[in-house]
Amino acid sequence: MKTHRVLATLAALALFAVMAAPAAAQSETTGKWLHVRVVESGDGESVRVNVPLALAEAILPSLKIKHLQNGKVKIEDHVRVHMEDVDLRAILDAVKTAEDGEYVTVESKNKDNVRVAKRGGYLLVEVRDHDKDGKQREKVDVKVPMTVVEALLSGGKDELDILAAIRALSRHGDTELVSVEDGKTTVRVWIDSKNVTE
Amino acid sequence: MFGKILMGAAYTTLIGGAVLFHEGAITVNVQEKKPDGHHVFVLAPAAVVPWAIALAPEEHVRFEHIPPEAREALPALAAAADKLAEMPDFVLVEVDSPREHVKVEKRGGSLIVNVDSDKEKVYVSVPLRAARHTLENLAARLPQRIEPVMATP
Repeated sequence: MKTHRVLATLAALALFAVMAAPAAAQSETTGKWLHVRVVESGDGESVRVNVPLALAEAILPSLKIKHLQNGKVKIEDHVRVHMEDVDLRAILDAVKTAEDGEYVTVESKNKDNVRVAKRGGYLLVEVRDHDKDGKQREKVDVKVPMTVVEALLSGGKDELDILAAIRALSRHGDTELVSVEDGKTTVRVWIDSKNVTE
Repeated sequence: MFGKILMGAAYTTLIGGAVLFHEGAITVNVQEKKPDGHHVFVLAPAAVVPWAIALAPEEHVRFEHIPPEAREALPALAAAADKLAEMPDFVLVEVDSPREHVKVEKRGGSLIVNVDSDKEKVYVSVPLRAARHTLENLAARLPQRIEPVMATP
């Protein structure tokens, strides 16, 4: 009788321990991570964001918000990508099939310039902004793998396939995607296989 | 006789507690940083929330107060909670400034928000499995009168 009570008590405790334990991870995710780091030198503020690309892949098909449906964004009427009256989407279509080279160079009087080039399998966008005295105010560098650009344009004529682009990005090697410096703020966006930022 | 009753009550409490807390606990801890500042501490079994949403009478659930954008995002948020629960622990967002430190991380089976500012300290922990069930129940209970998302030309 006493043994049965002890066994029953132990069984109940074991059941409680199993059910109250936090859910363990069901699988190890070893995919790519998107990292964003913003540092403001003025007030000493910093922001770090780490997003597993697998999470974005899981969410996008379920997201149905205005112009974003099933991982695709409609660009006609709602989202227009222009740089100084240059239609970026038209440029991307042309660059996709062309050889390596510099395709667009836009320069203004105060040495502001925008360059779009294709090199080593990447689409490169470089923006330099200067003040009236010619001193550099802002520097933007964007480096996107061409496979991601192709995936982005793989959808319909008037849409960008964000989900396909994220999948292409997760198959790519580690790379820095965006770098912005404007004297006070530094922004970096990159992908790698680590789940932490430095 | 009394011993048997006591044993039965103890087993019921243990098993009941295991059932209630099998999805973990929602923890909220807020402490104001001033003399006589308020302190709020809530510890609730996470399993209760989805049931509360599923069983609450419709007149007490104010769906019209949920913004349309939030309603549209509910299935995606549920999918996010599900996916997060599978992943190894990581820090999602960390903000450091002279005035405050904010950290949002996935740790164990929970999403944890930690805020330490000049005015207060806030700690919120939500088990991801319960969050997923809650969001799914909420999405399932939304009335069908929601206006179309995109009007076709």
